[in-house]
Amino acid sequence: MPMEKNSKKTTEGKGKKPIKTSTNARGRKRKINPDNQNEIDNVDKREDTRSSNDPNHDTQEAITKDPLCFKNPKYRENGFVIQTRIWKNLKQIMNTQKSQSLPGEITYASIDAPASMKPKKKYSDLSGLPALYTDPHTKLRYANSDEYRQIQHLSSDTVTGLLALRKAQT
Amino acid sequence: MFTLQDYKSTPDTIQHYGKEKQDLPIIIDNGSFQCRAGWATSESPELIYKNVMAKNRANRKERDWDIQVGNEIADIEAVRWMVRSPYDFNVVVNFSAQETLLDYAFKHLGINTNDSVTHPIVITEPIANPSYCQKNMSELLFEAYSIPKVAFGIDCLFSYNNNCLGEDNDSTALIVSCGFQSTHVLPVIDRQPDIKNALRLNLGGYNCTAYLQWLLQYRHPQHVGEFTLNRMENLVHQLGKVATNYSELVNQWTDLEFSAQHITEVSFTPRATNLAPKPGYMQSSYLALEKKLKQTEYKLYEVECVMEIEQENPEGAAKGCLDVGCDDMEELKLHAEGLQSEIDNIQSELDEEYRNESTVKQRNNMFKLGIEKFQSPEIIFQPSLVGYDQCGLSECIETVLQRYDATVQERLANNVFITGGNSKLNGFIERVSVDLRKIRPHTAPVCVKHASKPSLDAWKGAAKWANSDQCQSYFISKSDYEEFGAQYYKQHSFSNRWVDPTLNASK
Repeated sequence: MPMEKNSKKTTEGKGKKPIKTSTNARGRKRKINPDNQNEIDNVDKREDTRSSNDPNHDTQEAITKDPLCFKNPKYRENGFVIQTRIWKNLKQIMNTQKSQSLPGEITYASIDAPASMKPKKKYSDLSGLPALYTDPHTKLRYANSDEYRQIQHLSSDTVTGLLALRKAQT
Repeated sequence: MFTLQDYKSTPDTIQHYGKEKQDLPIIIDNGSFQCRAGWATSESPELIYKNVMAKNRANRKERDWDIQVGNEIADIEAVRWMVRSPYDFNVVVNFSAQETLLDYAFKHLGINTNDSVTHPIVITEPIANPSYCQKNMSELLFEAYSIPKVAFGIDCLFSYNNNCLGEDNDSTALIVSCGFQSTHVLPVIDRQPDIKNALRLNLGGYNCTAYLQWLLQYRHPQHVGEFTLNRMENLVHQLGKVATNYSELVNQWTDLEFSAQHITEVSFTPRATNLAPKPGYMQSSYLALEKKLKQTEYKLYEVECVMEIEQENPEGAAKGCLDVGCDDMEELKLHAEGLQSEIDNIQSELDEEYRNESTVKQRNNMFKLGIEKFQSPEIIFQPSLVGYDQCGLSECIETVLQRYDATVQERLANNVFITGGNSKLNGFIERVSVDLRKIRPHTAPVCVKHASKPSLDAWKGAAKWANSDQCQSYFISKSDYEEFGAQYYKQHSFSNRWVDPTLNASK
């Protein structure tokens, strides 16, 4: 199904290869050059959009300056240490927190909303109208006989997709 | 008639950085949808951008990365599959991406001091942020940028700060924070947030958008490629409506007159890359015709077989005739001709249908948006629509209220404050009001308020707090960080509670 899945199980924290040179704003690998001459080439057209009223002298100095000069140079040199770290995803963090916390403590998982006590209303998978009936063969819900006829012509892909949408697949 | 447009972002300029900005706090409202950053003395944040970056492999050989951040991404759909966010759900987990995004923010604020950002920072975090995440954020801010002082806070509490008048009856409130990935219900008792009794529903604006995308892709298969997430966001924001009474609406929908009032025609300009409709999605009538064609062709085939046998074996042929339903050879020939003409008819009908569909596709770049505009925001109130087993928002509010005694319940229900970008949906406040009214005793007072600017108030509240005198003692300084470690945290009335990790050392 052409749909973005919102899942807590995405593994965002993938290991990155160690890089031995620094990266500048655009992520291009360059040797650390004391003159910062390389940066002139990479200073993008955004410098032209500086809404600055400084006199020419300041602007000249500004253009030759590294756009990320405010970063701690030691951090940037050792930047690869941070970048090679494998970041945990949320599920792993929650598990660690669960094992390390005392019962009754506030954790990320403890404020999760509980399961609903109210009876769930059923709506048709095809039209959203109240679903009075369920097709025993495909387990799809439908509201009237026209929808049932449509269900019979659906491909198995569509049926699977509709069931997955409301997490009804076993 | 509504024209569907793509949200386009305008690139940010690099701001002027003068002497007047010295030592001003920078306020960063970090969220899974957008990041809003600016100086504490400004009216509103200077930078508002989607909190994502796109990492493009420009040249495979050299392993060069072309990174676009926030508003630099002109067309997010072109780089959709390469978009990276520091967030996993509503929590920051990827600190390399967060670093890139903070670089972008500081750069565009114009900061050009060497080796450090010499401004205190106020940054927001989610409710019950895991200490692992808070620790890494502290580390990133203090190590990479050498920031002198950092304070953490919760966005919805800052938003409440910006809206309440500081009166006595504002000290107890029930805050509903509607976010992109999650929706929170947080009670505030006597000015202190009671995080232990808060609830988080794992559905937010993103889920509404994704659900609408799926519904439209299913119901209008000929336009599958047109329904991008960017356009769906636009559609939900502009046309999405929360029904005040969903079951009543749905029951009335079968009435044609009622539904005609609520249907909107939406037109759009087709995108360059148009996905062809999959065969499985064709209209059911087309499929029925195809089936009929196949059956008729098979019958004709049988008749032709019998005619072939007749040339070699007349007796067998006579038997074959009876099988097919004819008495003799002449009738067989007539039958064959009849079948052939029937096949021709069906074929022409099929061609017409196909042509109709494709001309409709070319002529009418439009579709009708009906019950879907009510269905997509409804998932916040009925998570079972998308298979989530959690309480809907109204039930969450009810559950939280039941955790307190009657007097506190009354004060909470009388001061419900709704904030967050997703609460801007049409009809949202009304629905919460009506649902709250239903669960409270009929004489109890009920009052639901909406933030004046639901998306920006968190930033403004944080700026207001940063400018006040009493906040100074709640900043974590760099020396505190170096002495006590990254998990050191100072809690205040707008922040998460701090759990001392040394208490768990024995575990």
